Amino acid sequence: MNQEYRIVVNQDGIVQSSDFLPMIEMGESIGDSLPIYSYLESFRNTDPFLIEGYDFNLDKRHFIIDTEISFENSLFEIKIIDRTTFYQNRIINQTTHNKVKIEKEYQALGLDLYKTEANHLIKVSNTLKSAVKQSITDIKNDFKNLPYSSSEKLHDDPSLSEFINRLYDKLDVLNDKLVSTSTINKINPIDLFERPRHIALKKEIDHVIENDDFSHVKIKNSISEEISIFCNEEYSKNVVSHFLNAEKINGFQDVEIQSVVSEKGIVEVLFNYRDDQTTEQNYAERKQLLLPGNEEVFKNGELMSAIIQNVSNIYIQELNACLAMA
Amino acid sequence: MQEIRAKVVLIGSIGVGKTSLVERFVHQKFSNNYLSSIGVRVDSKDVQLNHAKVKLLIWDLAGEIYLSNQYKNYIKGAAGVMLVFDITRPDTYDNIKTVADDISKSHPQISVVIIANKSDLREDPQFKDYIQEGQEFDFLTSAKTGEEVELVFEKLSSDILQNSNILNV
Repeated sequence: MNQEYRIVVNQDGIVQSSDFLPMIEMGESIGDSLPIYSYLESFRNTDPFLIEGYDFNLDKRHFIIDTEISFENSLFEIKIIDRTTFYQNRIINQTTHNKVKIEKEYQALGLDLYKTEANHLIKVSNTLKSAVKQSITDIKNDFKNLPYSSSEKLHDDPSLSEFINRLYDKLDVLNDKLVSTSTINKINPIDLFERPRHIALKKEIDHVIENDDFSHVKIKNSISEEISIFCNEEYSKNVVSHFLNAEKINGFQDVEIQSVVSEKGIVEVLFNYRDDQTTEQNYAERKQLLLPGNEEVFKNGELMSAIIQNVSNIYIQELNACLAMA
Repeated sequence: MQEIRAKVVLIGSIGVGKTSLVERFVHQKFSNNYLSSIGVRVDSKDVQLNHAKVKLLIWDLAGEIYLSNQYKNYIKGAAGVMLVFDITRPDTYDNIKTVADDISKSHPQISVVIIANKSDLREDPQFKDYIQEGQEFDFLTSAKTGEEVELVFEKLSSDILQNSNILNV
């Protein structure tokens, strides 16, 4: 229950009357008991001035009060409302509320940082692709302008003619490859953060398999039905499609997809590609994809770094593969 | 020896460590357990300078007061203001510079310092990515380790002493 008290002090801060007994008695200096009023001048021009939640200890007792000061007839009147119990409960609620607020701040900030990182990756990737594409065009133009290519001299040197044609064809392939790798942008890592939701991984992969023509390759989805991922649906579809695209699996006989969930909630998806040389227990190539398994992963900087790093590696591998063609 | 009494107000968002800074400075204590402040707490401590003693009345305002812009009521009569933000939470720096400039403009007699707190988390892998560059501040403190805490209060006391609007005891 709130209790109200009234204290009157003179301009020297000496208590003239008080019903806040025995804590504050007549003749005391108000500043000694209530340090908040140790400097009365600060309130002189603010009449009345209400302070809510003034927290102090007096005579080994803890108080949290609302206090109001007014100045009239050369005296200060201080009204005290003891709301200790009310404020103690509020501290607990406020602490919980603030902790959640701070956590959300970190989460939003973390996601922004990853988005910036992912954006940077895409920009670098696109810049590199443009640079390589331009180089190919430049080299092709140089070939076109070679005196050999438009004169009889080329026919005089069949080996050189063959070499140039072969190189020219290679550049065409490289150019096509480069254009096709732009589909990598479909797995834009920024999308990973947009409208995430829980997705049943096995079903998602089945859906990708059903919607593509894998007549030449056997696909085995060995993922447990209990495993779910937490991310943007379009992103997960595109990233899975990337590992199962026709060009990638061409030449393999079967692909087995497995998955494990780490203790911290990262879902590791393994794409095991087998050819006629490999046995059931073995594989010719293995690719790893990391995805968030739940909301908690989104809040963990270390885990999200690992996931973004994984996508970065996919980008870099694509680029390297493209450059290796040269 | 000159002796003055001065009101100093700590302002800043929630959870930036204002109460911890006061606890460290006044009581040489630190707790990792966060407990929200409600309203105002007032502590006092004397700062001994070369030829003077400054008796600081330290008003620690709850973060909510800063966020709801009510701090203006509380800085009346203050000789110093400490604006505190958390280096790991860029949101807590938002408006700090503006508020500092506003106070300096409307209350030129008040000495204002900007404090970047939680310097101990600079190298913590969990937080170091969150630390932004380009923030302007006067002191980089840690209530946990005590880094620059004494220095802030001494510097502010020294500024207050030199300021014209000081109150003689």
